[in-house]
Amino acid sequence: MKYWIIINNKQEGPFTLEELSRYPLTLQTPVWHQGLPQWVKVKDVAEVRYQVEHRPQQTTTPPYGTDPYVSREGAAAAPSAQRVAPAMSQPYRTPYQGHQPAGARPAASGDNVPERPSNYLGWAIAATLLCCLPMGVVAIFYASSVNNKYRRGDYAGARKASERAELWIILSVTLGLLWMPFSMIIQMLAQL
Amino acid sequence: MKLSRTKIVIIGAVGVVLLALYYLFDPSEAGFFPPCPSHLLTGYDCPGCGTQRALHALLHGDLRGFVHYNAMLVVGVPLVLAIAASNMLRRRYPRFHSAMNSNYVIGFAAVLTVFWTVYRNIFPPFC
Repeated sequence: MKYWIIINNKQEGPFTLEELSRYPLTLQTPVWHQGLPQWVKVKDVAEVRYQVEHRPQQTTTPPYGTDPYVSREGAAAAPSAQRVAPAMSQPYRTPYQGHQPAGARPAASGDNVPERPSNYLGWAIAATLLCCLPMGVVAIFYASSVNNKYRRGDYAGARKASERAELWIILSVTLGLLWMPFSMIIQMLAQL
Repeated sequence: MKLSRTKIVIIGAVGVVLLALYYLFDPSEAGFFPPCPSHLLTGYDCPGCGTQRALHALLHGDLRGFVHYNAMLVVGVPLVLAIAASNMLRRRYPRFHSAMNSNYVIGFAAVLTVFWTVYRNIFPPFC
């Protein structure tokens, strides 16, 4: 999956997750990837947020002399990502390759992928069998939505679907628990 | 839904009490068990209808009655237990976990639920 960011009022991208790690992102930096309706903040995209929060310190101070674009003074004066060359003519340029020796790179992007959020499948089937109303069935469909979005790399969407599935299960269980004493009282009154 | 130890104890205690109730009283005769609200509202059987009676039958060793009241439980209960086990053992058996949470299992559950709902409302219980 590719990401676009807005940094210094300039749109940059597409980047892989690993390439993003070379930019001085904050939790407030606007970010977008395919599937999102609009720009969101880094804190709202689980895998980028994870990377920003677990970033090794050395990424912001690349060693000198490994990048032809960055002079010694420039690198010392400003974070590397501010030194963006005019990119209009080459929009798919991979930025800043060679900033760091391979060993200094952050962990491969595979390590930055968050765990798949729970799809609550077991809970959904149990709710369908134990309780009333077809709410558990809705949760079953959201369970597959969690899997599909996660597989496509839409981690924020998967998380949202997971929350939806959980919500439907909680609704189902709550209604069931309310229904139990309610119906008992009615039946007891009817027997009087 | 991360469950703390206290919650597990509470849920376990409630479960034991419920099992005792379902053992001691027959839901088809005793008047205080909650009827299925979907059935009450629509008149049709939902996929969970009959679970209480089936549980009573099972607790008395009446397997025939168990299948009679809600046949989907025969597949559903082991399925839920297997998924729960795979979730608890996610770290140790990650492949078991991803197999039990795959779209095949989800699709199976969805098709089974829909099929069972339609089937049981057309044909009377087959045993």
